[in-house]
Amino acid sequence: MKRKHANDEASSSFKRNNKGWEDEVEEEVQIDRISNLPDSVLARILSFLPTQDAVKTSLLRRFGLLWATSDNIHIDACSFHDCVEPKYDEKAPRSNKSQRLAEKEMRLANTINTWTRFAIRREVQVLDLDFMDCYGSLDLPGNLYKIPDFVFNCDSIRELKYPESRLEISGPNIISLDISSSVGQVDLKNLSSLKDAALGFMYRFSSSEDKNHEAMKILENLNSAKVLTIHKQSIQLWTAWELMKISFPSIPQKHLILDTDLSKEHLPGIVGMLRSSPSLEMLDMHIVKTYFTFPDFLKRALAVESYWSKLDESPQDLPHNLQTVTIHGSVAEPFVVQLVQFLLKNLFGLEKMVITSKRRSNGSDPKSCVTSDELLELFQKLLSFPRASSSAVVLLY
Amino acid sequence: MASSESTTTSTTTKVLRLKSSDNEIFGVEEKAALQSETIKSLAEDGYSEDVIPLFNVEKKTLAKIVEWLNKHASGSSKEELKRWDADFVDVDKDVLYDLLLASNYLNIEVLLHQLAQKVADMIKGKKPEEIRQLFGIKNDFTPEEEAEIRRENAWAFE
Repeated sequence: MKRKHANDEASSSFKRNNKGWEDEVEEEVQIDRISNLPDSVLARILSFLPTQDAVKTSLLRRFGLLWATSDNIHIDACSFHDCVEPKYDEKAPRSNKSQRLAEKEMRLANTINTWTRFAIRREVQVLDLDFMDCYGSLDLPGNLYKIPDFVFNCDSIRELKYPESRLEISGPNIISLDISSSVGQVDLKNLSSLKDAALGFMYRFSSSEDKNHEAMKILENLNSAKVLTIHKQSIQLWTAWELMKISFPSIPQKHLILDTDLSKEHLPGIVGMLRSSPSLEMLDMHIVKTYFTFPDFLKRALAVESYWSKLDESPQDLPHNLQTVTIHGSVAEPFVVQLVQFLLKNLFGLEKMVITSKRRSNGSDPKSCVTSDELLELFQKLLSFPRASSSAVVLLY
Repeated sequence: MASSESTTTSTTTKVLRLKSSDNEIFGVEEKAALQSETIKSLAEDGYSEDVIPLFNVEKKTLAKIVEWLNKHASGSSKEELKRWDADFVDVDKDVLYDLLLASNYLNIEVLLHQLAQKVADMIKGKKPEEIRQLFGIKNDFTPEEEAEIRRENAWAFE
């Protein structure tokens, strides 16, 4: 038989296979050695393939379900429906069209849940549900895809990402929750085990009562958290509430972390937040420089200058039990000094204020560092500020 | 470490002797050889003064592996290594399997990674029947079995 194949190349052997030549001929052309590789090596090969390619190897017996052992599985939601705008038969009655669309959405939601369940069984750590790939957004039933309860009851998940669709979260086992979305897109329910909560609204203030109400509702639902972090642009909300004299919910936490820029527009928000945190014992502030500024219309509407001068005249009712304040990051920013002065003057229970910074050195990011001169200047100012608490210690590193 | 240094001090550099399954002995500088976790643990177990037997690697494969170990311990620039590696894995399938098995056995993480990536690149974008043809894998599924698997994973086969 050898003579037949002396000059054969792979392409011609393929033709023979398709014509259904007998097995011995096939084997002589090429010995299947890949099937003799150990599972670990095959799995590693598959891990370099896009999931969609890896799945195709399930039609090779030796590979079987090895693709599913990969550490990183990416399932393209686009594969479950038409990625282009669905084409409708213009003559068909409208009710038929919406019926068909609804059926498709239901099927899609079921498929997503099947895969999610698979991921949970595999003890997934990062679950990223992104339905935004296709034409903007995916219309899931009622535009509200409910993440199934088994996701929140799962022990292995460390990180859950979800696109900017409306999201309903109900999870008595959730310990840590970080909400970085637009206001009005999250419904929170039953978060009784919550320890850490973080709020990072990507939000430009609107005077709409509904939006304010939504934001406040979310805040109230985070009440059970022991530690609350407010980051990104969220403080803007408090500034607006404070200056427009809108009453807002109090913060019951003992420990508050602010991860924020510090412009003069941020100060009213921070003051308002502190005034409404009666139980606060510990405040950590991380000052970053992102050069985020408040929109001009808001600056004009809020009249920050007059707010601050009035504030200076009268004593403020800040949390009496606030004992420890730490400030780190870009502490040489001008408004840090103003805030520190205000805190020292008004915190009667203060025992310790720690200000730390990164000294500027070669290679470090100048945005987050201070020079020795800046630090010295800050130190001299600090010494001259009056303190409401006689036992307050100020440490500057 | 620059390559010029290692040649000038080669008299004092420790050399490990690796023996292939067909009894060929290769001398390899310790620094290069220890990129293999398997050789490293054999050396730690006291084989380092003696010949280290590698029962699962034939000499033609071991020669290639030694070439790789030396290159990757030579202090070549990242760009040069990248080009060199691309050439190194550009071999016929039989050599590729031998290298895969050897690097798996010798536990040379970086090489195993490169080889697996190479095979993955060969599979990428191909239909199951094309993959079978490429690697000479027999289709032993019945049409019913095949239809069932395709149905289960329809999203990937479309």
